[in-house]
Amino acid sequence: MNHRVKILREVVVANQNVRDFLGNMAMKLLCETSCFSLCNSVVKMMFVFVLYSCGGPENVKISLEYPPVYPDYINVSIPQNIAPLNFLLRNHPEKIQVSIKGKADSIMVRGNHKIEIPQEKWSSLLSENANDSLLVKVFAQVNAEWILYKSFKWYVKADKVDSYLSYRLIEPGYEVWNKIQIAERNVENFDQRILADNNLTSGSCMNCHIHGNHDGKLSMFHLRGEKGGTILNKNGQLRKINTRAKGMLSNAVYGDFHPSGRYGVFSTNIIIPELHANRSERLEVYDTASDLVVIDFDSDKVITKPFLSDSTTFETFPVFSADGKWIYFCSAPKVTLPDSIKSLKYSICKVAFDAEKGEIGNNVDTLWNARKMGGSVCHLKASPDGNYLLYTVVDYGTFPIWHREADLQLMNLKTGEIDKLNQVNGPNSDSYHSWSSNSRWFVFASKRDDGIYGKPYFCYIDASGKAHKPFVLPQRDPEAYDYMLKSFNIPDLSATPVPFDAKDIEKVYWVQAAEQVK
Amino acid sequence: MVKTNKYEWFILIGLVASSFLFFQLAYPYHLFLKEQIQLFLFTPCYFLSYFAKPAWLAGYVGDFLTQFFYLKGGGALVLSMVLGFEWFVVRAVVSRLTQSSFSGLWALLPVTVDWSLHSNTLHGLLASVGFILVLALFLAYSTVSNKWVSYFTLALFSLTGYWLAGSSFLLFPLIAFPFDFHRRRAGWLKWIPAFVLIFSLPFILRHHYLLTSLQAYIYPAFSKKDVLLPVVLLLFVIVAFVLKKTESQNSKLVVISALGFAGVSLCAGIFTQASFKFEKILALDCETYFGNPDKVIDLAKKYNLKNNQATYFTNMALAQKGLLPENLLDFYQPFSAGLILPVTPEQNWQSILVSNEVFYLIGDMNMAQHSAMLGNTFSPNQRSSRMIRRLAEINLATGDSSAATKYLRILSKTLFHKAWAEKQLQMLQSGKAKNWLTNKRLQIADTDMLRKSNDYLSSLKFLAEQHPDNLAAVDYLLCYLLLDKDLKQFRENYDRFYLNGNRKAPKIYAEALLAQLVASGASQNEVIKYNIDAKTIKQFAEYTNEYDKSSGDINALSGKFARTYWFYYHFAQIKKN
Repeated sequence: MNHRVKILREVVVANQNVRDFLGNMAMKLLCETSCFSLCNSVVKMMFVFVLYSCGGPENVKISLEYPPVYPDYINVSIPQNIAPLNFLLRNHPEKIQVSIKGKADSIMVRGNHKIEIPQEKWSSLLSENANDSLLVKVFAQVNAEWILYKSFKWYVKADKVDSYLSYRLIEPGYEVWNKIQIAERNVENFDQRILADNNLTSGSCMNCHIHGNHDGKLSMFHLRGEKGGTILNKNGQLRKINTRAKGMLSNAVYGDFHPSGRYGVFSTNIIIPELHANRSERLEVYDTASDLVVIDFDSDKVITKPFLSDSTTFETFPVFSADGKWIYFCSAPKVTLPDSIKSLKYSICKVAFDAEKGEIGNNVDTLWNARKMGGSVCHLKASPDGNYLLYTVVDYGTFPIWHREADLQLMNLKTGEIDKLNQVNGPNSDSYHSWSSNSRWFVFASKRDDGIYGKPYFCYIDASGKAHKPFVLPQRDPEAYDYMLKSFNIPDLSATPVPFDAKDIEKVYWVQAAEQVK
Repeated sequence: MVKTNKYEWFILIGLVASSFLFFQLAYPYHLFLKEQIQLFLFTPCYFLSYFAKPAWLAGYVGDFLTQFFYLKGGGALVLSMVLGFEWFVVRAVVSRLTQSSFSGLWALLPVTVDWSLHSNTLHGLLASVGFILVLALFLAYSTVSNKWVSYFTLALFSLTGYWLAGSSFLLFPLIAFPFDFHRRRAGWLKWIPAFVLIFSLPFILRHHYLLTSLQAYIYPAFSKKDVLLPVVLLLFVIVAFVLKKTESQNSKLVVISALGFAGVSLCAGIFTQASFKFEKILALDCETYFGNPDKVIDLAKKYNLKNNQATYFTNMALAQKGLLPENLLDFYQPFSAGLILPVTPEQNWQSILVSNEVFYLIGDMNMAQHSAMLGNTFSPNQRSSRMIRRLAEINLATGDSSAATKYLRILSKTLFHKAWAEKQLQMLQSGKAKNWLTNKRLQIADTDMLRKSNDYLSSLKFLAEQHPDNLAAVDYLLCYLLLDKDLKQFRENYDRFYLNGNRKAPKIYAEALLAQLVASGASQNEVIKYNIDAKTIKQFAEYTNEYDKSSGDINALSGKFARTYWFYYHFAQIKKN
């Protein structure tokens, strides 16, 4: 408390600031008013006056601190098509009043300790202020005393983010599951749809859902269990594929689509979960064997190379390059596990792929050498414009979600430069990322809030390649994250919604026979 | 409403009083568990979450009432009042349908069925509330006399009944149609669409609610058994209706048969649904949860249960009192399975729910967190107040204040865990740890290792290595080895973690050491350093003589030596199912 008092350096300015604030708003409204909108402005002024006269801020103290908003939306860059950034104040105010001011227009929202911004006004304010900023002023009544906090900005980017985000909702239960759902959220509003629910598929495990070409018409996820298989969605037609051919280590695990949609590249892994004993670590997951395969979905054929199923190295997290001519993947020399887990370090490698012939090249290049860089890489994602490779770096191993040090890095594929994304990474695990189709946004799962529950954060990359401060997926009720006991796994962006839902997946699971790859 | 007769007041009071006494005296720990496997929050988000499934009103009211089960006597009081109210409503329905003078008696039957169903952990109050709600809707419908208003009411109820009360609403047409039929207002045009709508709605809406067909038709119940409640009501409405004409002549017979049926159904229900053995295990569990190890030991002696979980709680209480190596074999020991409960999908949810307790006790916070997370995940509603509290405690102990704050914030929105949570939040803000937390933090490992979640031996060794003064962990390690009859490893670890400090060997350790020392041909000097008392050495000599004399006859040894480690070592066997 003393600390706060010290920092605040509160100054009593009886009514003056509020009058200034309202006066400014009134002046702004009048100055920018044409004859046609005069009535509109007068009505708004009257509204502001009514608000002010019925219990608005009086005897306001000025704080030089930012308001304790949750989620942390202070000075973040946001796309012009994002849902309202509703937030709450952590210092339990009795009332809050927030003004969001753009070039011409503004929104005034009131609440007790949280606000819900009207969707329509918000959307038009964002589109009016694309490539500009919104000024957010927060008044809060704390212990019967009004405080005006330091204003902050929302930088509205004209570059839109893909509108649909799919993710798996699961309790962060380490190694086993009970209830799992795959959901799709429209990030422009608060609509969420369930794409698959394991209650309808005899409780089977579901891996995360990924899109091809950021398009809802091409996507897949692995549905485990007796009647499971990899569910492939092509234009709404669902196929169930048993991706384990003779001689493969396992079914397909981590994977990505070729831009043509014809191929998928996958790792096959023998996965071992073990628990740490140290206070700050939780679970470690490592592979005792892992290989790479390409599956031709048109012919159900498996394509591989001996050096990609080499027993002396682990290969995992494969993705195609934006043009489909390369396969990027993580590779590490085999070590004795779990004893040498801290020596298990994955590099970034690439190998050519000829889509016309369906052939993998013979030479492997190393883009990021774990030995030299002193870390281990996981989850590669190539940007759709072909300029960047985004990945997670951990101290060791291949499973970053319980590694506090797991941070994102961005490699410029043209120059080889690496951005450590200090502006983006948080104190806990940041991983499982996905690009927006315009390569200006990416989403990633971050545990920065509590270290346990992953949430989707969005980050803007501007034309110069600079990353901006990320923000969490907005919720209608900003308290929703506080009381939620599920993690958002593998958030994946798509420009369009997928054309199936949980009912279709139930049918595929129970009725449709699985195709077998050869 | 029908006026309540004098005798009916006796029935009501008798029902409420007897059900209160039953749940308070014979079944209180089940009710504690029911509170522990839910988490009722006073937040808009939580309220709105009820709309994701049918029966939102029944669910919300039922869960609201269930939170009072946390209080001593609260569960019995709430449950008996709900049963009393249920009787009152059922009686009104029976009376409205049959005009029987004995409606109050017939009404007892469904209520006794519900009573016995409440003996099952998974039969929630929401099922009773849903049932009452549907009957209340019927009573409201039955008061409508205008034809068009009745059409409108029926349409309204048909559309909203499932949404409000869940599958209990399927009962509505089965009682409302005969009522209309009797009053000659049961037009087919009115009732055919109503029947079709009411019975098809669960199927139509099942994908919206993400339920299987079976779940859609029994929701919010977990089990098909809950269908018994409306079935019994219907059955006895028919019986009451059939006997109506003759009941005035045979009033005694009616009274005796109704009371007889109620008594038989209650006894049969409790006999088939209630598990008094499980109640005893839950008694040990709850007393562990409430921090009463002495009571756990007393109850364990009294119950003398031969059950892994019962042993698990008893062993924890002994370890808390530092008595594990002294009294280990005073209780049933199913090898090491009574020390640590496995956390695997094959175990039932209740076993997983309590499996974190031992890890928390011995200071393996990561295993405790793993078990508590899974306890919450596998609890019937994936929301357990007990697991959230435990997760908060674990993260407070490990110093993960942001994770602890998350769980404490959740608890601060409950009615009965709020005060505790706010105290912990204040402690976090002040940065001054309370004694319990300081002590807990002393147990936590500072270095790291990787182990499989079922590799208990490695975990115990690691804990003992980290903090040899963590006596609970050392005792668990040594007892684990003893119960699995690994004397060689026992002695190695005893030498490593227990021998220092010139401590006198506790009973079981002394017995095991003697056996191992003799088997390994140890010298007298070696024996002396273990500080084993003379009485144990003498008893060992007697045991070996007796063993040799009787050629290892269990009957000859069981009288005097049944609680010695030598006897356990020679004769304890794992029973295979």
